[in-house]
Amino acid sequence: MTRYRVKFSKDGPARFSSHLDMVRFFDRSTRRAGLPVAFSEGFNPHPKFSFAAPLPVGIAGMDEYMDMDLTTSLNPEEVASRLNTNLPEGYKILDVKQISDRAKNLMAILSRASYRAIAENPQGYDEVMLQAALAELMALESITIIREVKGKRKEVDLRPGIFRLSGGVMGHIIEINMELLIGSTGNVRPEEVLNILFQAGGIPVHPEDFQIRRTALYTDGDTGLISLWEV
Amino acid sequence: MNKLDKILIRVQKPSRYAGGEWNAIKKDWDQVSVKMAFAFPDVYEVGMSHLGLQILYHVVNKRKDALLERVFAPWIDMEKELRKEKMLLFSLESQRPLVDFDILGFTLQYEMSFSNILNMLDLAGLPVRSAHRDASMPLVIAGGPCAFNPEPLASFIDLFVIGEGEEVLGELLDAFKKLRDQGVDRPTMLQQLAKIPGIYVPSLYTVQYHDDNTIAAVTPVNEEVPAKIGKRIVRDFDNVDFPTKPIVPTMGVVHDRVMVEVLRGCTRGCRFCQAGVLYRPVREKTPETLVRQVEEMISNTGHDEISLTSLSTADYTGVAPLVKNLLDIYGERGVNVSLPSLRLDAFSIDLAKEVQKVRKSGLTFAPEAGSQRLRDVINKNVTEQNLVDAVTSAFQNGWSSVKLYFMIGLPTETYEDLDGIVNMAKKVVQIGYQCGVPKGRLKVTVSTSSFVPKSHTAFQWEPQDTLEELREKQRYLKEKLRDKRISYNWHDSQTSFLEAVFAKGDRRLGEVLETAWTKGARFDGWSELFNYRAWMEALEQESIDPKWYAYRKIPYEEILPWDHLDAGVSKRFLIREHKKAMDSHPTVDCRAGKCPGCGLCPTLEIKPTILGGADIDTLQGEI
Repeated sequence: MTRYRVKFSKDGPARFSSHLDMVRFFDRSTRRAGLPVAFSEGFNPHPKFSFAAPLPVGIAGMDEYMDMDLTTSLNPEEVASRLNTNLPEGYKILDVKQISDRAKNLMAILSRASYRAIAENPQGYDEVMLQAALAELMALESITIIREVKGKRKEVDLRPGIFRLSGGVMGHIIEINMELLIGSTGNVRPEEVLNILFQAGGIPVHPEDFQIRRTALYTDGDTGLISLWEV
Repeated sequence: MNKLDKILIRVQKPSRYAGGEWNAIKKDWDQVSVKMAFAFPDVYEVGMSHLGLQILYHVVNKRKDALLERVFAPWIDMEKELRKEKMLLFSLESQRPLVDFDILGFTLQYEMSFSNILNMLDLAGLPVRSAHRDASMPLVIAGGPCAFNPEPLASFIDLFVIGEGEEVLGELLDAFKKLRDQGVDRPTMLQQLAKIPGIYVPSLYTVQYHDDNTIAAVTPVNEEVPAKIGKRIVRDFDNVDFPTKPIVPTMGVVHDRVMVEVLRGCTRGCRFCQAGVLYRPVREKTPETLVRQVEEMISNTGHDEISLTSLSTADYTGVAPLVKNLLDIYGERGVNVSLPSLRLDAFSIDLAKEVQKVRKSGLTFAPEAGSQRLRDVINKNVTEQNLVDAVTSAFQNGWSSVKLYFMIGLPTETYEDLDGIVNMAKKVVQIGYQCGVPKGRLKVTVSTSSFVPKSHTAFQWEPQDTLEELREKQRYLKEKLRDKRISYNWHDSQTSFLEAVFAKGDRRLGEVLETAWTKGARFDGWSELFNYRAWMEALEQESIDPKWYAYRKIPYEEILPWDHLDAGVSKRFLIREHKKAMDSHPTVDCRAGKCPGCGLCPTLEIKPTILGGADIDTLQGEI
């Protein structure tokens, strides 16, 4: 059994696929590619894939990760090229490397994600106003929102999970970059931050009008953040 | 950010509209002469489970001069967004509005999807009525089983394709291209296309009615138009093009697997069954062809399940060796084989045992009627002993749950027949206990649908039970099947009633359809959206009595709205079958070698293709 870490992107029509649909895609793609994927035991064997974090439907991912077990050892370049020629529109394998089968689970080590949201900038809104709105949000001590989880309403403070906000107005485009908490200790969704900026921060763009991409996934290293690829 | 992306973020299941699937074909728009859109009047998950779509997608896209793209009925949330954003309904592949296409082809699988056709035309920005469209707009065509009685759609669809589409669609595209390049107007185009065998142009026929609302005559408007349209069939089924690179859906769909069609048609001759008539004669593919097609499909799709589809797969001549062979090849690759329908016999259980070695999901049988008498009426040639043997074998082999399908409201049915259903269910429970199925796991599910008389069948003259009768029967069964081990479910009778009205409807129902659609009828086959009131109001408004269509016993002599559309089985044979039904006399299966004389083979100059089977000496001439 050999374990591989696969770095990929999901964009175009693929960003409208749910996480479960994506898992099924990878099963079919590896079958078409003839890759010897290891399967779990039991009545209903499933391929041994493990993903870092599900992408919400509608959000593209430029730096996504999956670990995959193969029953025989193959050259990582070959795994990448065989997968790449068998993926549906919108998916791309960016890199593959062999990792130790004792490597820590992606989901367990994941701690932070970067997002980039872009939209058409409404007339009259400028860089100065945007920077002020971002700084204002970062200056808050807490940002309490209500989340609905399985029909139950729950108060959550988003502020500790917002690490960095930056952005700019470039011509007719407004861009907002976010570094947010993700993983086993909690999760701040980019739409939630955009919604606060819209509702309270005066940014005149509805969260639905932003096109959002997840641009990087990180884990906490001894000296700071490390990309999941560098672990 | 474009408008579509914005909409897709707001709707449920945006993959339904996003496209980009594996094996989807996106051609260079400007390099292709004829552009056709295949419109499925139901949601993506249903449409992508339909083999006919995959077949025609392949047939058209393999041509250099043509392309076929897909469009499905948008769910109500998407419809709302499209209307709000003033976006026209578009195809999945190139995301172009449907008005940019030359031909728009609907598939008619179910009467209760008719309102979606009008809605899709409207969302496309097209007038729903053919008379209001001209040569600058797409030609709107339709095919599929409901095209055999398309009269309720006669005002909306320019032409219908009667029978199997693989071959005639090519002829249609050729003719279309030529005529379009000549710049002819729409009426001239239709007049010419009507010359192609199997093409029915409803506007070229006038229907006259008697004072009592029955049909007096259906007459072609000129001599160049045939009085009767015969169905098209594929003669060399083994060699006909089959899509071995089917589109792999992006989201979970109803049938998410490789579908290989092992045979077409069914010889059993159940008298309620329309498909059994429409897809005659039986044609089996050779095992060599099937194994080759399966291999290509598995490597082209990456699916982990192969479904051997047909109307009755267990009847395929070499089914046992075929299943064994496929399991030998694919078992270790983690690919399963599944059989969509099982016959009621021990042989079928052996097959099911082979394919479900590990996980024993439930088994489904369809005795259809509860008594031997009624099974003889409908010509469902199974006995109670067959059922006993089949379920005994199933329970002995590790299955613990069994589903039984019946139809209620069949012609001549009495409450004794319903008692037969109850007794059968209880007997199956008993057998389960005797076979040692653990008490907590034993489960028998009884499902009843309501009989809907269909055109071109021996029961086309039969009335449907009234809503009250059906509800009373459902109540009766619910009461009698009160048992911890048995669960009972039934179909909504209002849906079945409207289905019967349209299945036996004539052109006058077109007004009703349009009115019901304007009152909001959509997705009538979906219980959560079915709006019975809209339909009743529409019927009332158009002064149409639905009971006259569904509940009337029709005399043999009467001209039926679909008599000019010929499925190949003679009306005389159907009358004889109907009479035999009333006397509870079964008819033999022609697979056994004895021809019952349905008239199809001599009419279409064809013979059934049954591998290694008896060469059936078909009776010639009218019987």
